[in-house]
Amino acid sequence: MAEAMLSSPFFGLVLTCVAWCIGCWVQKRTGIFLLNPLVIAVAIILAVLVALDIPYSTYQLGGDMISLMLGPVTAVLALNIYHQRTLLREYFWPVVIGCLAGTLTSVGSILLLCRLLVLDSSIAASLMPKSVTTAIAVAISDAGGGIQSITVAAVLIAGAVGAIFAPLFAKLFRVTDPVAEGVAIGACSHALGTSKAMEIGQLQGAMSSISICICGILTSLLALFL
Amino acid sequence: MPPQSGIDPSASFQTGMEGAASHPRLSLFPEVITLNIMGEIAIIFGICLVSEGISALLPIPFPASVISLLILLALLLCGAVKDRHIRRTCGFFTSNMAFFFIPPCVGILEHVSTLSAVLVPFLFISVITTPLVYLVTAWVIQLMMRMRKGGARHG
Repeated sequence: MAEAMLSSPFFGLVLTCVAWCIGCWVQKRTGIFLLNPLVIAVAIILAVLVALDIPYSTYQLGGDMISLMLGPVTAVLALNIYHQRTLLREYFWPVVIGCLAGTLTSVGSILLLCRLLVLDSSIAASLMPKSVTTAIAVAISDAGGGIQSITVAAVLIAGAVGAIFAPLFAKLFRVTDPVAEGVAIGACSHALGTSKAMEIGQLQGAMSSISICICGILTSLLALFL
Repeated sequence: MPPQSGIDPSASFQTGMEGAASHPRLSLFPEVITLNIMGEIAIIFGICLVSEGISALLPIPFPASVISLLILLALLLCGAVKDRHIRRTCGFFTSNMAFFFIPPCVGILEHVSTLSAVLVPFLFISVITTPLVYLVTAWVIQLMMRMRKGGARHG
């Protein structure tokens, strides 16, 4: 019976859903941002797989079905942009140029540091898109010969750092304009940061989601030339 | 069987792109719901499907997910697809966004050896470049806003 269950995609699907729910519950109970549902869920699943000596390929049967949805997850960001289109039109050029500056900084600084620290080109390719939303980052990393898992880890850390320290950054770097704040959060820490931006303010949240999309597109285009 | 709230099963073959007002039953329902949920899914997945095709046709590697975002945005802007055609599906995905990233994260398990070899530089780069990107982006925008305001005052 156990073999039949383990060779079913349902195993991965159920494990992920349950782990996610536990993660959400823990975050709600403790309110500690570091303990976000994603981190907890991943920890639980890793613990289960390692403890019960279940190979990753078994989990992958169900996991692949979930990651297939990353395409639609990216696509639906369009609806948010559509809703914010009047705001975007008003602040169009500052936002776009700001995103461009941020993207160039991100890609440039990573490539520079990778070269300085003499890291493998596949590592550089994996780290390069770390500031954009995971779905796009993974796609860019794949296209550039990077390692998906490292990209996801880098994206997570970028997201977590941005989300946790966004208010601190605003104070430290004397960012007073809400549009600038929102776009900056989205540019460096994508969707994870946007959830924080929405806590700070509606406008910041909206700008952050637009910034995710613009930076994602810009990084994709930039990656083509590298 | 209790009637489904506001969803007409016979509307399942409607794409919603022909005027919903022309359908006699649908016009009785709240404006919010005009499509069977499968229709919404068909739209989103259909766009993703087309994007996969386009991505394969392109001479350069470009993520299909970004293409699907652009296509959906274009469709929304020109009015071919309306908010109410995709609202519930979009809401489902955006309200649980992080969930869909769990499998790739778990996939790190496979690459623990590669990662641990570069763990320190990896962490260093990830942690340092994030505030740097924040800084540059915010300052450029604030600078442009100030220039714009300054120009408006003198212009």
